[in-house]
Amino acid sequence: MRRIGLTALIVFLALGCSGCWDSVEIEEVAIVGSMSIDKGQGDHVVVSLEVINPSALASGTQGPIGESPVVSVMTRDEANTIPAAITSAQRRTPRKICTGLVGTIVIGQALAREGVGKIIDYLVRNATVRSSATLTTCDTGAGLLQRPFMFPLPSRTLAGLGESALASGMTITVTLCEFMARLSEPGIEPITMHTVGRKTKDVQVKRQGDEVKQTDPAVMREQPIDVDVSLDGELPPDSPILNPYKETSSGEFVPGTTINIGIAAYRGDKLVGFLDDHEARGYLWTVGRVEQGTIEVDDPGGSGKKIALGIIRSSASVKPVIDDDLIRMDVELHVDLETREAPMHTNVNNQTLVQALEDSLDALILREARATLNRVQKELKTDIYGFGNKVYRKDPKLWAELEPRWNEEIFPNLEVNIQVKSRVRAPGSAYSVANR
Amino acid sequence: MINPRQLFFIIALTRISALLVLLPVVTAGNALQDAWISVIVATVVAILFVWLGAYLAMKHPGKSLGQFSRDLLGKTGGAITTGLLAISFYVLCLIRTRLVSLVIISHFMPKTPGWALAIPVLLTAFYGAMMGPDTVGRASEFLFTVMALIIVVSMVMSYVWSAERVAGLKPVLSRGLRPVFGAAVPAAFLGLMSGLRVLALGRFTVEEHKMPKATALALLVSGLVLLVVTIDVLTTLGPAQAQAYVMPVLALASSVFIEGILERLDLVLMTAWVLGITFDVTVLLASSSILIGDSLGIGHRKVAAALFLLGVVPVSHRFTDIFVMRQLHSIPVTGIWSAAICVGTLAPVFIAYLIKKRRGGS
Repeated sequence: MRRIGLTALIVFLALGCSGCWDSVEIEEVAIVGSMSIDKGQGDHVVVSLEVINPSALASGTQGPIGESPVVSVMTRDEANTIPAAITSAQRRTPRKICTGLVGTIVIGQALAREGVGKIIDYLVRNATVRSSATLTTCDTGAGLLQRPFMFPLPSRTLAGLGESALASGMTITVTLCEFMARLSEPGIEPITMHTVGRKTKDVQVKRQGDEVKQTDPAVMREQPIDVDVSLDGELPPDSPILNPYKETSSGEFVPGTTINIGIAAYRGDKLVGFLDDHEARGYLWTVGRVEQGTIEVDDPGGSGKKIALGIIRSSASVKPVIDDDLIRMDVELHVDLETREAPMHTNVNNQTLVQALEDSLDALILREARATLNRVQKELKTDIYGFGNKVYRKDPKLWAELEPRWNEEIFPNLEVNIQVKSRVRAPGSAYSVANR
Repeated sequence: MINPRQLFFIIALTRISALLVLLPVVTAGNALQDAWISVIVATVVAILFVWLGAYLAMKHPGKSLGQFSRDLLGKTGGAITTGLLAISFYVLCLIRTRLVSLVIISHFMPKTPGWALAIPVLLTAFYGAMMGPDTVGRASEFLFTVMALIIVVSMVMSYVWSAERVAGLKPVLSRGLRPVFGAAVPAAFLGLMSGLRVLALGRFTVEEHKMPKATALALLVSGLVLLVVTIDVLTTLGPAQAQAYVMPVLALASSVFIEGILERLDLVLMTAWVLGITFDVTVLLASSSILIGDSLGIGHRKVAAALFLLGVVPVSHRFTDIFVMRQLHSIPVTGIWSAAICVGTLAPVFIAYLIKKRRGGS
């Protein structure tokens, strides 16, 4: 009994000690909330990390004595490879950089057009990076991360924007896992969310007595942020690169905002173009992934006004038809909507009106889906719809013959029949507004 | 003594642990989308061979292979057949121990020396082997419940919360049967090595007539679990990418993120796997000790102590790394090893049993 007890003691001691070598105190960790990767000089990459200060975050702006109250800082380093850039950032970070909680990875357009294979390889090999991290492609440089808004952390704001952007029905979130699956699976090309870094002014509405003053229009999309900051030498302490989220009252320092506006289309690991607003929704109709959003159609009653309908859900069924040398895709779209706003006196209990409304919706959705498909087929020439994958699943031997010519020759001329069946499921909470 | 239910738990738990994280049906061979068929093939093959072993154990109640092979084949023949299986168990025990340390080092704890992780696992296995099959049986009930809970929750979470399923499972057998059978070899081998522990633990099992059913059922249940996991992995990661991962199930778990509730499902699965593998190593060490002890007429606790001391150096040193990871689960290694066990242990003992039975022996 004594020997067994002694053995048990040794076992527990041994198990307890095995964690000593890699032990890291939470107070000594610099958590990276989001990461962005830009093209540097030559083959270099510029890696920007949003490094979170957990203790400052926990204690608000009043951190303990001797600690910085800044909740996060941004590091920006250039090197041949991403690990080397992170190592470079480590040299001036007093805590150990931890990439285990990276939620969003932003890739700059210039780098994305050259190919993101190297980035994906780093992210896959690094066991600490979660494959649930969202990938986005920024059409300006990716180095500028989101300023905090409604969340204390820029990365949380960025993640929140990614989630809330789905409500527009004009973009989609793509995780690292999904991107890799699309990259490796035959006949389907990768996509990411398309984000835009823009110069913005404070959009907060300030109440001053009875007067409500809005400082500036929310966002000026015409002015891309200038991220071409020299990386040589020491940056001034108030540099937006070192501390881009510091609030100032002077108005001189204006941090950027990220807007999620659409979808970035890749062919292999290279970015080939963007689909924005209605184009992006046109793509999402065809793959059945419009989950929310608003759609406006003309009032079939002839009022000359618009009726707004909320999208409840959408789905798509894609069937490849292979007949000798002819390949065709039959796509059937189902969209459920509810009325959100209609001109006064419009009674959506009227079946004739509802039928006319549904016909208008069918035509509108078909137009959006067709317009995007046409652009993707003729201009971008990348099968982000996964039509090739459908062929592969149905006839793998035929796909082996078609694969080398698919994106360049076959997909651009592929016949796609789209049928739309929209249903206005609900009138909202009233059929109409009563009026004298 | 252990009952058939505990035997079921032991075999199912060890097979799930051995296959779960590395998922050789996906990584070995080139079955790609058809890897799920490999799971079915491997399970059927394993059940067929293991059933023979369980049948032999049932026909020799209160005896392990070390004892009844001596009765059937004589001292030398019995020692050779038993030795082959016992050494296989022992080598697998050392390889798995080293494997746990390598996986933890490569993924989470790069600065920790291998021995610091391997020796505690081997110590735990030694402790379990010293406590005997009764304790192992009782532990299996608890650990199986925990493991089943973690796997079910993980699979549900990965299904609901992971990325859009880009990849499908078609096409079936488009590259022929060869890749499917190839990918089934490592999984069948691991099933065989889990199930054949009945030849050691059968000595301690009550209601011996239920042993074949319990063993076959354990392989069937573990096969079902692996089937679900394989389909989940293939459809989420894509067959080609899944094949490229060292541990596809951890990659799958890494795609799950439920903010505020569970941010690292992969760590939960990893913990479950380490728990399962430690149990697996314990059963391997105990089975090996029982077989060697019974064959040589020595108490199995003394053998376990000797095997523990003998294994401390190999599990701590890098020279054994050549046998681990992909090499261990490669088709040639597992194929030859399976054939050696079937031809060198199962076949002679079973044939000798049939001859003896025909001659009117018990």
